[in-house]
Order: sequence, then C-alpha cells, then structure tokens
Amino acid sequence: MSSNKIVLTSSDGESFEVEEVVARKLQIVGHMLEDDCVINEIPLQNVTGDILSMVIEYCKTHVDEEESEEAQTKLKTWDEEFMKKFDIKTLLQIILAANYLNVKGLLDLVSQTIADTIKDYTPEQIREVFGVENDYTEEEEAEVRKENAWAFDEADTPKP
Amino acid sequence: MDEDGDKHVRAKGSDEVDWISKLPDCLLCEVLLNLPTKDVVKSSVLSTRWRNLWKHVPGLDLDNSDFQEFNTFLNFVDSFLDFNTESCLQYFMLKYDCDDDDYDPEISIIGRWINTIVTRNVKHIDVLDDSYGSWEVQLPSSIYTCESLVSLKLCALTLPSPKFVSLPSLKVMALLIAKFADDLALETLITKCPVLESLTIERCFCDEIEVLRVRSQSLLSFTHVADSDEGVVEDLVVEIDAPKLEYLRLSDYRVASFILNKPGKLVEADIDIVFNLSSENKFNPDDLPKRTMIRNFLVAISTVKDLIISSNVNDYPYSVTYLSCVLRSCPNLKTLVVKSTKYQEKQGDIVFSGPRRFLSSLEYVKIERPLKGEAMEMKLVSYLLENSTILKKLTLCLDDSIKKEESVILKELLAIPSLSTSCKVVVL
Repeated sequence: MSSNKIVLTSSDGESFEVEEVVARKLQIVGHMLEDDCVINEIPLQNVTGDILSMVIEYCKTHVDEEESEEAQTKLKTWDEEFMKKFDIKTLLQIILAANYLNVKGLLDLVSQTIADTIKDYTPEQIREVFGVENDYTEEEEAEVRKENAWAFDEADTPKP
Repeated sequence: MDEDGDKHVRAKGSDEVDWISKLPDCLLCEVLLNLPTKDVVKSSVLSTRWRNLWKHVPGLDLDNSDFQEFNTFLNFVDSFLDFNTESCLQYFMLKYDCDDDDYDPEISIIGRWINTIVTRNVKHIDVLDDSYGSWEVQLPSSIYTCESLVSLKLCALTLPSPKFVSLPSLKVMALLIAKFADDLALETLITKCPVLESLTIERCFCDEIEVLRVRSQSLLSFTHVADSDEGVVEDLVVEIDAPKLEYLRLSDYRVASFILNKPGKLVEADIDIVFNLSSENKFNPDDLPKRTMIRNFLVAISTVKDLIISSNVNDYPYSVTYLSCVLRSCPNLKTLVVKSTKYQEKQGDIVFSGPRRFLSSLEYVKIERPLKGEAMEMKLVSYLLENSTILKKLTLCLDDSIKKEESVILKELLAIPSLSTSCKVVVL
C-alpha cells in the first residue's frame, strides 16, 4: 500500500493530513479514491473537526487489523479505554459520523457502548440520561406496557 | 446509576437536547441490536418516537423464562417473525424449556421458525432446548440450506440427515449434546461445510456415533468434549483429518482412540484426555495397538508451541511417563501448563528413558497440579529445570497438606540446579 498522504477537511474547515491507508478505513473516502485516484484533498461535509479527529484516532489504531490473539486483545483494551473518554452526547455524534463516513468497526463499537449504557437502566433512567422527552399520555404509556407486559415485570419500578 | 450520577449527567446535558431520538431509525436499530430482545421491547415505552422501533430490530434474543406463560412466548416469537418479512435477520437466539404443563407438541413450532428465518437470510442461529423432552423435535432440513448462515450453535436438539447441504458462509459451528438422525449425519455435515473454521462438539451419550471422522480442508479450531459415563462399555474413535488445524482442545473421558492425520500447522493444544483408561480399565503395557495409537497421537501434536495438559489418567506412573513423552516429542514447545483435577496417591517411578534431550524452546511452565513433595514430582521438576535451556519462569503450586513442611520442600526445590541461567521459580 502506498504511503500517499490525503487531506481530510471537516465541515468547520479543520484539515487533517493522514496516510492513505488510514483514510481508506473511512469507506466513504475509499469509494471516492476508487472513483478518481488523483484526489488528495477530501471535504467531509457532515462531520466537525473535533469528531473527525476522534474517528481518525480510531482508524489509525485499527489500521493493521492483525489476526493474532494478542493483537486482538490489545486492540480490545484500547477500544474500551477509548470509549471511556466520551460522554453520551459525544458518543451519539461519533455514531453519526461513523455511519456517514462508513467506518464499520467504530459503528459497531459505539453501538455496543451505547447499548451497554441502556441495558442497566429502567426506561425512566434512560429518559433522564439521554434527555428523551416522554410524550405519551398516561393512558398511552399504560397501553404500551400492557401490549408486552412480559418485558415490563419486576425491576421496572424506577430506582430511587 | 446512583442519584449523584444522574445529576451529573443531567448537569452535563444542560441544553436537554434529546440527542438519541435524533438518530435515524437505522442507527437506533443498530444500537438496539446489541441488546436482548426484552430490553429492546422495553424501549418502546420511552416516547412515541420509540413506539414501534423494536419491531424493526433485525435480531431476536429471547429466553422463555422471561415469560410467565409459555404461550405468550410462542405468540411473541410468531408475531416478531411476522414483522418486516422482507428484511434480513442478523441473529436468532432462543433458549427455552417447556417442562411445565404447557408442554405439548407446540414447540415443534421451532421447525416452522427455522424455515422462516432461513428465508429471512439469518446470519447467526443459537438455539438451546432446555426441556425435559429435549431431542424430541427434529430440526427441518432447511437449516442445511441457509446460505447466509455464518454461525450455528445448537444445544440438545436433533439434527436431520444432511441429504442436501449448502452452507457456503458457515464459519463457526457448535453442536452441544446434539443428536443426529443417523450415525453418519455429523461427519457428512462437517465435510459439506466448505469454509468452516471453528467446530465445537460436545458429545451426547445417546448420539450413537462410534467413529466420528472430522474431515475438513478449512478447519482451524476444533474442540471435542465428552464426559465419562462410567458403566457404559464403549470403544469410541475420533479421527481428525484437518490439514489447516491450528487449535485443538480435547476434554474427553470417553473416547478410546484419537487419530490425528497430518495436522502440520497445530500451534496450540489443550489436552485433557484419558484414552478411555480408568481404574477399571487400566493401561496395559502389552496392548500394542493402543500404545501405537497413543504414540502416534503424541507425534501428531508435536508441532505445538503452547500446550495445556492434564494428567488425569488414574494410573499415575503411566500419566507421568505420558507427560514426559509429550515433553520429549514437542520440539517447538514454548509454554506448558500442567493441570489436574484429580490427585492420585499411587506411587510409581518416573521414567525419562532414552538419550538426554534438551527442551530447547520451552520458556514458561506452570504446574497447576498441587505438589506434595513426592519423589516423582521432584523428578519431574528436576527434569524440567535440568533440561530446559531457555526456561524463563516455572510456576509451582503446593498442596495444602504440605503447607507445614513448606520450607523444607521449597528448599529442596530451589536447590535443583537449573540449566537456564535466567529461570525464575515461583511458588504459589
């Protein structure tokens, strides 16, 4: 693989010079490069500089997907630490960016991280943590619960 | 999360923007796909935006113990499979037992579900039948023509005869205490999976397979588990013909003969087998075919770098000899772990016969079998220390019964001269 440099520019005008192999981890870039191989500067409209820099950090770390168990374990630990750095709001921005830039590994990682957060919460707690506004009427909510009552048993009362 | 945590999070999201609901449906489904179906369904109560999202999550992960009534469970799966019949399913994971009064042939509905998910191009299937009436239902043969299937894990189910198999994507297969329509079904199935990489088989007592041939050109990892069933006289054979095999785990108290053909790439092995020897069925040194089989087996695994070995053969002198044979026949061995679940009292003499052979690649050894300071054990430890040229670390565990005399034994152990100049002996 060539060590060509590619410049990625965010929606707020921040530029990042990265190795082509790293840029190709963003599949959106990979496809552009296949269509026209002389591009060396790519504007990315839907992602801000601070989020793009995190996506690039992920791609740099995952640039060699080594198969050995040792390398895999190391990457997994890195992934966990990487995810700990972000609050919910940032995670949600990263998942949007990973989807737009088409970085499958990062998309899966953030999905899992958000899911893990949701898993231990009651619906009331999820609403609080993610700022979800409950727009059901009391009757509507009761009906939703009734529809699949099996899923709303025991530990469903909001914890203090 | 505790109260402080909640406040913290709320303080952070000062503008109270509902970020998560702004994600497009496909991304919310992507997130929900990582949760058990029960949690996915619960999300419907968050707000009207989430009302029907759960129906679009392309995976089912259910345990019928979450349902008070078996019929509610059946109806739920049925209706779930009726949503979005055009879309692909990522996974179908079910655990059920139908031991209560509700038990009736209703669960043969599993056959219909399998047919449905095959048409939905499911990628991962994981079904565990935990009922008293396990094995009563034979899966439909459509399961063998699921071309999208990447992993298949089945527990306590009966598989049909593989007349027509088309599983071009199947990489991982785990068949736990499964039964088969006939004694050749399993071996035929394995042969017909062209990209199978990982295979785990936990034998069922009633699978009626006397000789299991595992023939695969693609297989990288193979695990075979069989618990003993004392009192049953059997002479089981497992023959492995997988030239690409890298990892082998055998945890087996039943199979009398393991035959491993040309596994030239084996790097890691976890071997806990007794070749069906026991206190009733002792190793007979005059049994030439058996000796040849064991020797060939040891030669076959001799390329390994990492080895975990359990010496559980009841005949302790035999097992130590066996261990010494293993050591002498593995020229690439780098790490060795000696495990044991049973401790044998019998005495015998350790024999490291033949010309001296250095253990020139061995770097890490851990003997998990608790040492009692017996002569044989000391001989084994001496053998390891005196013949390993580059040993870096030897970890030993002492048996509780000798904790009192610990210092004496320790002294004795530490007095053993080590050939490697950088060897650290650690006693746990």
